[in-house]
Amino acid sequence: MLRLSRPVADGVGTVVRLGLAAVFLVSGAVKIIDPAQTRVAVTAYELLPQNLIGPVATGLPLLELVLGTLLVAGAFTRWVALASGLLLVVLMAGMVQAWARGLSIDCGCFGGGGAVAPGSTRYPQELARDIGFELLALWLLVRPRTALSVDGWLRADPDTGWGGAGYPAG
Amino acid sequence: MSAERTQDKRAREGAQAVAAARSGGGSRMVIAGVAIIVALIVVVGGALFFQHRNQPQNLGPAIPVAAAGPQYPVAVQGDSIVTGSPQAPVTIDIYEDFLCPHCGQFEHTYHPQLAQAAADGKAKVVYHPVAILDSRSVPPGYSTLAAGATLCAANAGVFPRFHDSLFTSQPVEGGPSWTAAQLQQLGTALGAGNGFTSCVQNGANQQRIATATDNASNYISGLRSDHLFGTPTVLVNGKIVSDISTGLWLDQALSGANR
Repeated sequence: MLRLSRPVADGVGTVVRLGLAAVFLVSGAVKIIDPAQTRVAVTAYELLPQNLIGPVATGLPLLELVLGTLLVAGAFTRWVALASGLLLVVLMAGMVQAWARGLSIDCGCFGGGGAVAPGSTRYPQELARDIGFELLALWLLVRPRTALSVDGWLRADPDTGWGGAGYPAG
Repeated sequence: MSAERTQDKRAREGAQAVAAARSGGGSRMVIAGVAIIVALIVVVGGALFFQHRNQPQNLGPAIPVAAAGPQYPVAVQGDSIVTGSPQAPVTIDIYEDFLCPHCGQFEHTYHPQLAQAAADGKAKVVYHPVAILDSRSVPPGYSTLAAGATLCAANAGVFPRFHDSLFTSQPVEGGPSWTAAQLQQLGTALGAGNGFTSCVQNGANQQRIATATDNASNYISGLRSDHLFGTPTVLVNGKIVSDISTGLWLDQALSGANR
């Protein structure tokens, strides 16, 4: 198995972290600034009772923005990666059930969403994309160490000395 | 190696002691904690601000009744509503969805002129209610409901103000829409008889609107080089008007320049 040197792996991890951050920040932002469209997208999954559609249409983009912000900062990276991975699993499950039930909808992952003409669904592409994002989350779950992160900055803190053993000084 | 590391560690411990003495310890955690909390507050607060600003407004308990406009003859012909004199020199066909924002804009801009032209016998204005945005209301199906109810209203003799009221107080795409009960109330307020209420209620027009929409889609997309159908689509004497952004098309239609 290919083993990456620590600086290279840290660098890859940093790109992964910022990439996943961008995914969540963009998807959260486009959903939150178009609340009507987001309600349409959530409704189209035909999964939630009427009184839960509003809270989900607000809560989901906020959750995405919070995860994105924490990923940019590189704070609590392992926990955020776990939450991101679980969120992506839930979103993919929603898409799979819509696909299995034969609903003709757009996933609304990055804005848009709602019913589309039968035959113009894009479930395989949308799922493949989300699996890609899931891999990013898994990388950070397994190896949360990245450069330019709050986690790293705290780890190197001379005051707390968190994980100080083995961390290169200076 | 091991000696080096020990030395390293000792140097760091010395630095730690100095720093701790200076700052009281854990200063980076405080800074990071505050920075993250501030960042989250800014992001979430900003997000909620934009969401609130873009939130569709709630509809009132009843559909406001639009003011009466010019009087013109109304006849239902198949799935369309013919207004004005059938002998008028120009025919203007309008395909519209009651939820479509551009249709609302179109009505807002051109309706006074169109109604006047129909009243003066200068134009035969034919409305084709279609439903292409059923999925985009909460609950879904407003486009079909409103289109069907408009046919009912035309049969009940209250088309003009019914149609005008729905466009004047148009629900926002993706937001809550008027209910069948509210549409019934509007028609009744305009003087439609009992037949109107049951016409809206039993949804008999649902299939009719679906068929009309299919037919309109086939017809219009056949006229267009890109084979698309959207609303509003406007035809003057059977020819698609390509630019409705300015009033030029209507001036030309009414002055006979297109004949």
